[in-house]
Amino acid sequence: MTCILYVDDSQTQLDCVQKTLTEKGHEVRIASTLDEALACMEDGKVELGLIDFHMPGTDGVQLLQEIRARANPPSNVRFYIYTTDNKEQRDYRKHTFHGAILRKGDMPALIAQLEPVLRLMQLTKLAKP
Amino acid sequence: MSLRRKTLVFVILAVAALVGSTLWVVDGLVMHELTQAEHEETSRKVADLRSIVQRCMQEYSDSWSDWTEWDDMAQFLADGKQSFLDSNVNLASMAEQKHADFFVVERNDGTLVYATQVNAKRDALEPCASEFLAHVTSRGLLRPGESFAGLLTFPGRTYCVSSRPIHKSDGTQGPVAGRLVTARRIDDAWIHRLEGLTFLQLGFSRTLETPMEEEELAAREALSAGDLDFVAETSEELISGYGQLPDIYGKTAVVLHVSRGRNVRARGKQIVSWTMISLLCGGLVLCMLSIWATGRGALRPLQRLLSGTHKLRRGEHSHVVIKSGDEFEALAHDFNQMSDAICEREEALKSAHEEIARLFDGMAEAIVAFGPDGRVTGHASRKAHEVFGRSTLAGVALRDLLYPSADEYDIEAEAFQAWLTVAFTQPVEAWEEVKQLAPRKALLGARQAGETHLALEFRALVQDGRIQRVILIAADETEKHRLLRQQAELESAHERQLVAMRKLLAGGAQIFVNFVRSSHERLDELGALLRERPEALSPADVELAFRHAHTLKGEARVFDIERLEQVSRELEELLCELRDEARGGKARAGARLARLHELVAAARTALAEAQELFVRASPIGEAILDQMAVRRTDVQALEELTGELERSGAGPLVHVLRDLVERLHSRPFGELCAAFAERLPLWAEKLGKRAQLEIEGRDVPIPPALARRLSGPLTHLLRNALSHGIELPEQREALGKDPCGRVRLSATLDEQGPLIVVEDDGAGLDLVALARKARALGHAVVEGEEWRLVFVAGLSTACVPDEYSGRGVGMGAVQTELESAGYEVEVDSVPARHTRITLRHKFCSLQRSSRRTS
Repeated sequence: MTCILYVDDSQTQLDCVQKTLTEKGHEVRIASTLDEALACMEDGKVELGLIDFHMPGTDGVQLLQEIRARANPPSNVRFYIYTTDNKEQRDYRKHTFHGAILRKGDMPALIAQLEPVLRLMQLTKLAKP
Repeated sequence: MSLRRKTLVFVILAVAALVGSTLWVVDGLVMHELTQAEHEETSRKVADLRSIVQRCMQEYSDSWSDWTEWDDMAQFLADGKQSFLDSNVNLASMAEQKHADFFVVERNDGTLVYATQVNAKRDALEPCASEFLAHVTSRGLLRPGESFAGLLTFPGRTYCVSSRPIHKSDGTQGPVAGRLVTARRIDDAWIHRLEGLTFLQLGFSRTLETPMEEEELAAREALSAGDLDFVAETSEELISGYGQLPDIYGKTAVVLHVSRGRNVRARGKQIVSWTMISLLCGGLVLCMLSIWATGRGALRPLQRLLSGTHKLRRGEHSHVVIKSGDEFEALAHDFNQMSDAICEREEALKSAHEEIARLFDGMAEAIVAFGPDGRVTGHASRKAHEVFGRSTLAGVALRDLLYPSADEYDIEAEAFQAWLTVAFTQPVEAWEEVKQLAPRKALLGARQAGETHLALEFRALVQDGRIQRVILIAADETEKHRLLRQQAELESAHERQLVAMRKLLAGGAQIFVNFVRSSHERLDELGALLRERPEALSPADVELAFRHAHTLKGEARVFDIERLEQVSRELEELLCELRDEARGGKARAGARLARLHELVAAARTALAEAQELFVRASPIGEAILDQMAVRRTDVQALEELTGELERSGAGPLVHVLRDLVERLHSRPFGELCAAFAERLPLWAEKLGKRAQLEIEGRDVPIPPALARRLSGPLTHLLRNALSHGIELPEQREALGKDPCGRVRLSATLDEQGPLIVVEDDGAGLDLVALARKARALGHAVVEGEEWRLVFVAGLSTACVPDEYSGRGVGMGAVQTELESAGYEVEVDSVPARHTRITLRHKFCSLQRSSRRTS
């Protein structure tokens, strides 16, 4: 089980993703603002962050910068942008995201893309003595 | 370095060491001994010379014996008569016969009788120099005693002196005692004569004041320290010896110098040189002999063995023949046996390998093995070549095979690379855990047509307690995926058709038509914006256009119009770029304008296609569009007109017209319930429950008076069913029910109109508790009619009110609402089984009551 933070301004998306990933056995914390996201990260249990790109008054890149500045998450916490914008992954990596997960509109697509990410996280844990 | 070269170096070094040490010994010992002997010989020569010189001096003294043992001389000592001098002492007798340079006769009492010296330059006798006479004293030359000879030095000159007592010829003392003192200068002639006697090259340092060489100074220093002699190697050819002779006073008067040629030493050196040459030649010969012997005895057999080993390494059969009768022959024999065994095993391995390859090729899976570097090693199955599309797989990175189009940021490829690292570094015991983290599937090739779906399985090959290689078994599941996708597409199309039909039947058709109309309007406006201000769109224009595209995309998604959604998304992306540019000023569509126009046209086409699809999905074809075109306000106006006709006493046909209008104005039951099918599961989920809605009688027409009011009561009744009726999933399972509750909404039509039932398979009503609560609050309770208490305000069996029910005000409002439309509500419930609420027309209800009464 992985503790996942999902940040989005759409309540429908929040509900939908939370329901889907919870059914998959993960602990999903949802937030629609920066403050909520920071509150979710307070106890340091969040291992994976999934951040929407288009948000009112800000965007995912800015939001992550704020999270990194204020919550100072450890380096093993991975952050991915969740967007319909099919840009080069390199662009997001420049902004300290570990990569981009393409928002294809359906939950199976999200799960399929998250699967290697979760494997990667487990492998990282396993590789560490 | 080859063995031959090593041997050569070793032998050369050994021989060089032998020759060197021999030379050192010869040169060191022999030459040292020779030099030592040379020194000793020179010392001896110096001693001999000293002895000879002393003997010469003694002889010189003795040569005056006929003068000192002569009566005339004794008489002359006494009387000193001139006649003796005239007859005996002259230049000839002194210089030529007796070689005397000084001639002195003096009495022992110190009276000088006669003293003369030879002046060689003037050939005359002259008075004796006072510096010589200064030595004719009782401490010096007049020393009493026997005769003696000695040396006396003057600046620049050395003399051999003789002092003899004067006797008569019979040996007795004359009338006066005195001594004859003579001296002869040691000159070159004297030295030359001495060289002739000794066969030596001699030298005399006559006085200390004489200028001396460095070597002589060193000699004098050594001699003055008490050494009898001093030997110095003057040069390679000469060795010098030094000795000293004292004067009559015992002080150093003369330093003797003997120089000798170093012939012995030179000969010794010559012998050493010849010895060295002989040794070198011998060593060279020894080297060659050693190399020849080593090459023949060891190197050649080794070379043969080495060639055999090389052949063996190349995989060729090798046999070495050595007939030396020693260990090499035994070694060759063993080598040949080993070679035979290796070849035999290689043959067996080759056969096994071919067998495995045949097995691999015969398998349906793509099989490859890879090592810690993630590259394919060994044989790959034929299917692997086919699946990965490569003729050669050895050495290819597995990451490139499984994720051929992945860039460095691809998450799948990144995860696989991480897995590779972990797989080969973790202990064997952790393999099962590691295996679970391996990718399970991979997709190769282009989308749809050329894609290959692979199911992946990894197996570890363990050797020496470590994972040496991992085998990938990839099953091609492309056909399976194609069938599944085909089935899913069919199901999806079927589902879409059902949804479309449901929406159409449920009144969604009107929404759809509205959507089509509004979408056309949006596209018109979008097109107009692009046409009117193509080169200078203001931020407001772009924002408006973006919103149109965004809304279009969202609405298309609602109606599952995939193509329209896709086109709208692209439109939205382009406009998003423009919007970003517009924030900095005017946006210029530029080259993107043509694409925007194309997309607007494509959106129109997609919209038309969607409309066509919905029409096709409708069971009544294009007629559905006709139905949609009916405006309910018109029908309502027609209804009102019909009412006026009735009131004005029109004919009987007006009733028929009224029924027709009533039917036309009615709405299908399914349209009123459509929204509940999606909402009810969500409501249940929020309560922590699970439930599904079943709708029956979708086509039953609901009269307009009821249709206008039905939505609110149905919402309330359904929420009540969830809140009070349906149990939590675990409770239902405990009761042996399906964890997912069932709520049924049905409508039937009879002569008096529609009969609507809301039924759930939940816990039922606790009428006993309700009656108890009613009585407690002072309400009258009619036995058998307890169900009517649900309409009493303030009564509820819910323990905790929630957002859906529990405050006891809803059912009363429901009853009031329905009564206003001429309908009443009946409640029937069986605890733990179901609750059924029936809505029926009052007229029908009256008929039933009358039937019950009769």
